[in-house]
Amino acid sequence: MNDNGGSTRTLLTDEITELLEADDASETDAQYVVLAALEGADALADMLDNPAPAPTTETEAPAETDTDESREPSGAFLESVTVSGFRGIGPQAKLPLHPAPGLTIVAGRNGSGKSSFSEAIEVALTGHTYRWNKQNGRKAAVWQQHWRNLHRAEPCEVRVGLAVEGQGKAAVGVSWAEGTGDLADREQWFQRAGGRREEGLGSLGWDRDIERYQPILSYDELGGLLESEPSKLHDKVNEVLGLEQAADTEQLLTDAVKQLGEAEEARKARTKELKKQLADVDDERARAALAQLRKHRPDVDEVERIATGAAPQRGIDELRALAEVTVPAADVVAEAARELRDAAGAWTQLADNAAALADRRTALLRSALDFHVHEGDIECPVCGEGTLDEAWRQRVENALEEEHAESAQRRAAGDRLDRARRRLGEVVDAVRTPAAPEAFPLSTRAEAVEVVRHWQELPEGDGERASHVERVHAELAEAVANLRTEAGELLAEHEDVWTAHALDLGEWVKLAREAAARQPQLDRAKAARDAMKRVREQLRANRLAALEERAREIWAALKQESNVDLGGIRFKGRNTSRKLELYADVDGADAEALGVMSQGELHGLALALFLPRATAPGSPFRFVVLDDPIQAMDPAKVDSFVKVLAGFARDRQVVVFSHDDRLPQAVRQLGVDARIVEVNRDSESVVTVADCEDPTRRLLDDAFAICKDEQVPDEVRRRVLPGLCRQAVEAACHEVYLTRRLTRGDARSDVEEAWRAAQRTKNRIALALEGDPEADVSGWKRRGPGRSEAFGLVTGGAHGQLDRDPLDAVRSVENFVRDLRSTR
Amino acid sequence: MTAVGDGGGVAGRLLAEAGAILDGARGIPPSQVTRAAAFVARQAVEDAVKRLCLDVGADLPRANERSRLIVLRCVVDADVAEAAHTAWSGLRAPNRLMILV
Repeated sequence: MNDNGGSTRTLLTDEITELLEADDASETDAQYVVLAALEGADALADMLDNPAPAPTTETEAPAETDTDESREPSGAFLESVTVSGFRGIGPQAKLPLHPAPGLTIVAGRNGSGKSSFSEAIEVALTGHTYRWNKQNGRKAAVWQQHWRNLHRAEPCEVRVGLAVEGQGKAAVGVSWAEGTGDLADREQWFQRAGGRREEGLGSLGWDRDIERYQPILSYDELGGLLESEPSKLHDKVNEVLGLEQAADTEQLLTDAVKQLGEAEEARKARTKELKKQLADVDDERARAALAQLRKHRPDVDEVERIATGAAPQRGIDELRALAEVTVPAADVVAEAARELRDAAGAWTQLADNAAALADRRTALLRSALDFHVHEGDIECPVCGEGTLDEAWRQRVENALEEEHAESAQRRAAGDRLDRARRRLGEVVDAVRTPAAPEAFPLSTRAEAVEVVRHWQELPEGDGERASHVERVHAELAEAVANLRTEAGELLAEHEDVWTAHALDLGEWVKLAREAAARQPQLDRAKAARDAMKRVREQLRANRLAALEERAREIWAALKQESNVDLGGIRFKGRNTSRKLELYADVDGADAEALGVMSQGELHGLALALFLPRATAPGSPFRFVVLDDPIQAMDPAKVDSFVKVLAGFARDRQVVVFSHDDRLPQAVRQLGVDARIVEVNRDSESVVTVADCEDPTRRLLDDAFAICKDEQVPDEVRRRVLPGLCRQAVEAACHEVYLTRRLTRGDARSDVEEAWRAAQRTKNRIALALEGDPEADVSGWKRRGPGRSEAFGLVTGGAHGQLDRDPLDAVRSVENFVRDLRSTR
Repeated sequence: MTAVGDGGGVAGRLLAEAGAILDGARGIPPSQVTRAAAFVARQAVEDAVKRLCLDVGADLPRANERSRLIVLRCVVDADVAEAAHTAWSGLRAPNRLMILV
């Protein structure tokens, strides 16, 4: 319904922008990020997703914006309250109000139905009243059962007519279903002029504002405000400062920081867990990873190498080798043994002593042959009996030929034996002493080492060696198999444990990389959040100072003879300990206000605090309704209070319900421009509303009083009356003009400007009748008796032009005013 | 208030008298002091208003006070008239005396 959201947002954005520019502590980029956050979550995300703009040597001023601080959001005035069957009001009764700035006193005795009107406004606008809330008193339960009028319970409904700037006429209401006894069984509605009724007040968009500005204040509630929990008072005053956009923006940035910092937070949390987890792991890799994790800035790549096994590890390689250790297979050993044994047998057969002798004989014969070659046939020099001749030579050479073949055979057997021996050696050497993996004790290793040692201790003799390997192999195979199994199991166990840690470290590496990737964004968001926080605090301090100033002014007017001065207003504490501290100055000594004030003073203080709140510039409500605000107020304070109200009434519609005669009395005595309406309740809850007094009426009454006082010389009377009549007509014109235009939805500032521009009475009459200061109103003047005379008196004849009976003249003006008002 | 207080003449003397009554200098019983002082002070206001009207040529020796206050507002000064009105109204109820003090 209202468009305040837009304009107040703009105003606050402008203010935030200015403070941001003045914030020396923030970098240009942080300012850009804040400005993006002011536009919303999407703009912020865009800004953070892109790299920070390069800093410029000069700060670029954000685009110029309209910073007219006097601008206010468009607002609503109360036009009427119509009630039936509700509380003290039986048959339908209507309280007409002037939907324009001004003070209206609704007077009536206790039980006259006046408070029923006030409660009706509250119920229609807020959906509840202070009295319904069980937290606010024991009477709430009783009240909740007796909201219907006892004499005329049906229909039970409330309608509050509104005049909304920029919208025109509208109404909100609440009605209870016929016969229902359930307070909650009600329908709340809203209706624009010419529009259909809409259920609920959602489309008004006032939910937050009605709580924030609380334009309806009752005596009970005012008393309760200062007695409520400290945090409530804090929140109520904080809300009215209108910083929700700043708070929202800060929250958006805080959320962004939180979101961007999630990876880093997760990394930190994971680091903590991993440190704890790895501290108990007896593993070289765990120790290396832990050392990294304990560093302020761990080397992520190194952690990854450790996790993936790319980093060297002591002991693990040996263990892995043991888990795979083998011995020559039984058939290989058997083959080697058999071959050795066979080769040795063959060799033994050939290489006997005869063979050796034959070799020697061969050598001798070769020498004899050589001798024969040189000496020719000759007696044998060795035996002396035979003859070394040709026959001998032929015989010997044949024999030697045969012996050479035998010798080759023996060499072949020898070679075979060598090969068989080497092979067996290889088979034996293939089995090494098992390594001792560091940090991995193996129970089967000792036996394996012993068996291997035994295996390697080869006896002398080929046959013995062959038998040795055949005998020891089975034992060796078993011992090594046992060792292999144990090592394998240990390795598997170790690797299984590590796999879990390695996966965790892998996850940590991922988090750490993610966190590192987000760090630049996070730094920017943090800087922006900090800048926004400073700006919001400054904004709050500025606004609180303004509120404090107004509260102090009101308190100064209300305090009268009290020796308590209102000092500062400060927000203290955070979260659940937050509170609003009100300081007082008692005869020069500082004290907390709530502790040193009397009940009456506290009440005045509540008014001092909450009237500025209810009439804050950002409020969409151009009215404030006070129900019985002067109870327990000293008479002198009543006078001051009326002046305070008159001050607010210059630009707000102030409606005060009071059973206390002192209020209308003070209005009359102080000569304050106010409309006084009297509410009366007859039998059967018939409530009537009568206009008693208003500025026009009072001026006319004064004029009549001058006419009727025979002791006033005629010359003085003729001097005074035209001015009084002119003022009365202008007051009526002002009322008619403002009511008509504001009801139409025109902007108050335009309406008031047009009124101020029309300075002459005749222009103001034209404005009231035709909406145009230069309009011709002669037709209207002619259509009513006495109008022309009255017009002449108040326009041209204001200075001594009263040339007829003064009483007749004032009566004609009275009729003129009535006719003017009837055009409304 | 200034107009009344500085009025001198009858109004000034009456105001001084009202002050003396409040100070207990006239032997008036304490229960009657406020009322008596208010009565005298009100006469001071009425005299001051009368003279202010006379100063602008509006001689109202016998007119009622309401008329004089209206004339004062119309032909003298609205603020002075309001102050006088407040004082005079307050003095009709003695417990409003503090306004003048």
